[in-house]
Amino acid sequence: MGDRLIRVNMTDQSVELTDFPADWKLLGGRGLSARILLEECDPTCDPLGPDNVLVLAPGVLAGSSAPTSGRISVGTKSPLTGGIKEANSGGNPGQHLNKLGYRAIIVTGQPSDPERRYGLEVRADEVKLVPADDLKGVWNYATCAELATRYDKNASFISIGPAGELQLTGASVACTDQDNRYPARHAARGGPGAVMGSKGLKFVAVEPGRSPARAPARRKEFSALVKTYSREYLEGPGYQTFQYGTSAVVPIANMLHTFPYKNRTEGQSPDVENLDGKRIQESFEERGGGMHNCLTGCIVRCSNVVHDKEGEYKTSALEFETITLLGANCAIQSWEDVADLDRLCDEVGLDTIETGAAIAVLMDAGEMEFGDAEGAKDLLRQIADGTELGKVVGNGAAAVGKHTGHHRVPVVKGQAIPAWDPRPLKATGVTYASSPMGADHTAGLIVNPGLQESEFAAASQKAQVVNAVCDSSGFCQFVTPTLDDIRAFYSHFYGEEVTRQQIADLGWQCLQDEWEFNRRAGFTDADDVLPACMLEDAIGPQKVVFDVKPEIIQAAKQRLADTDELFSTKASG
Amino acid sequence: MAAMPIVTVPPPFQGPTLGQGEIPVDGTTVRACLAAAEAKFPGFEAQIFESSGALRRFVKLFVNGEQIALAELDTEVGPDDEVAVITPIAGG
Repeated sequence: MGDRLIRVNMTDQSVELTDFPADWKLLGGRGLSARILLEECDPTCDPLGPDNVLVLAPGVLAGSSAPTSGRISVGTKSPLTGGIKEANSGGNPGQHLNKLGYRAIIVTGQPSDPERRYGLEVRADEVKLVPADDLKGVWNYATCAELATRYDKNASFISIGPAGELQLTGASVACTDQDNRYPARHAARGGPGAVMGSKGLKFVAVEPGRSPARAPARRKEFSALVKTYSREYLEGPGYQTFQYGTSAVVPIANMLHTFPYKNRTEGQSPDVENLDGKRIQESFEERGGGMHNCLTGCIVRCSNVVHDKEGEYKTSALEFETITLLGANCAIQSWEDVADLDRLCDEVGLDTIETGAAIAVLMDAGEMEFGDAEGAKDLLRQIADGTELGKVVGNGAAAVGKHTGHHRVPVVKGQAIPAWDPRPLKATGVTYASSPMGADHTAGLIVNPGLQESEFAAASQKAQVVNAVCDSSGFCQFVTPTLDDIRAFYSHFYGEEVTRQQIADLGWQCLQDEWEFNRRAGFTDADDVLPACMLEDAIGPQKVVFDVKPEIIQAAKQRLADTDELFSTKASG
Repeated sequence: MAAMPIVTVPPPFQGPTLGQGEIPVDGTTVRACLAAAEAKFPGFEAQIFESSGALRRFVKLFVNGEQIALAELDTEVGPDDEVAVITPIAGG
């Protein structure tokens, strides 16, 4: 049987399986989501209404033996930005869906009764909706623990927490990791959890059964490529220096003045020693925990498992972005408090970047003390409870700015700026301004403070094209594939040569589809700007601001000639 | 131009080098090569070493792909050799 699409209509709770179009075979993940949304979703629709479309799409190589290639994209019209959104996640649902030959789940419509909850059961021989009212309002960990009792021991789950059910625009979609099946991996940015909540879909359970890995057309060549690529990655200096995950980046980011402090009024934190990922590593020996892979077949193993002082599991993974936005940016001094906040965000189903930025704006506005860790934890519980203040914070940084009237709101297209700061890293700022996603470091991160202005547009465009292809392939950005790497995997998987032109076109077409969606939604060049605080508030010893001319930002959206360098540039996010 | 050792600079450390990723230097040891790069681009070495002279713990040094320790800074290098500075970067 060929690949299929799962079409779920939440208005009448019907499920239909359709053939996956043959000419879409090189589309997966982000690229597939963009194509579906452009063709099937009205860009002017209410993001939380019945006309929005939610796409859950594994990458092209998910379910195969390609290393660290099982990521899943969640795409929709974002209730946070008003434009197209793709957020992707690790964990095993992407692997399992593709092993079963389901290249995407497309969710449309809305139940007439907003109080109803449903779950989608996905198996090789049957896909159906089931009632899930008993899980209404249940936090993510308890939801997945309950699901674990109902489904096969190797099933994986996609779920939302209370924030998604309350349709808050900072809400994430959780995916379970591969070992403990904790809902610790999140497609978080842009509020996809709110859209899932608006459709009454509480969870998706995927039972892979005994489905084998997807078989490549050229088995021998594909297998050889898997071995060579994995060996080179594991023997390379990048892996050797990156074995403790993203939290290890904290001191470098601080040195580069891109470890924002107190709502980005400074680029370095005086608490860097307490927030350094080294402290987390040191805890492993005494408390347990350690590094693991979030999805089956991962060779990066960047995910840390953090235990509390009693040696009990607390959270996973405590990432650089989370430590920055919920830690330094809120002047919260201890990594242990940030671990608590991370767990609460995973439980309630929230984007840690958006939520950290929102709390920092609230603190900067004088509504709360900077550094008030216990107050921040209480706020996250308030979000789950749906208090008025909780709902404001759960709707993100821009909502808090509007609520308080505060002037310093670091968002682009309504989405909070991640840790990587566009003032010292101006090419990354060009990505934030020009990307269809709003401020999103995974759309095209360039950590090079030495780039000259004449290089910004090309560097940003190159990073955006490479990352668009990577996010469509299923590869994790941390395994750093190049376009040449990805097309080699595609060529052996499909048994036909994928050319450089084809792979570059795939990346560019993805961006084109996304920009076109946003254009139809009403976005113009005037929206491709960074907020006033990035243009006016200087940081670092050089007192840098983001002062890149609008024409350079627009130049990043005009396709440049493909160069050899485009194909050898590693994905980075 | 005669061959010279090359110091390769990772993108995060290219602020002081004004975006230059490969610096040809005149030096016969790793230490001398790094010092020569500092002479060309002040501020470069401060990203690699603590004020105490210790290697920053997020930095690793490689000569022709082989990692060296702080105690091996006097490792000799020739005109065709590469001294690489490596640091991890990823988003999260």
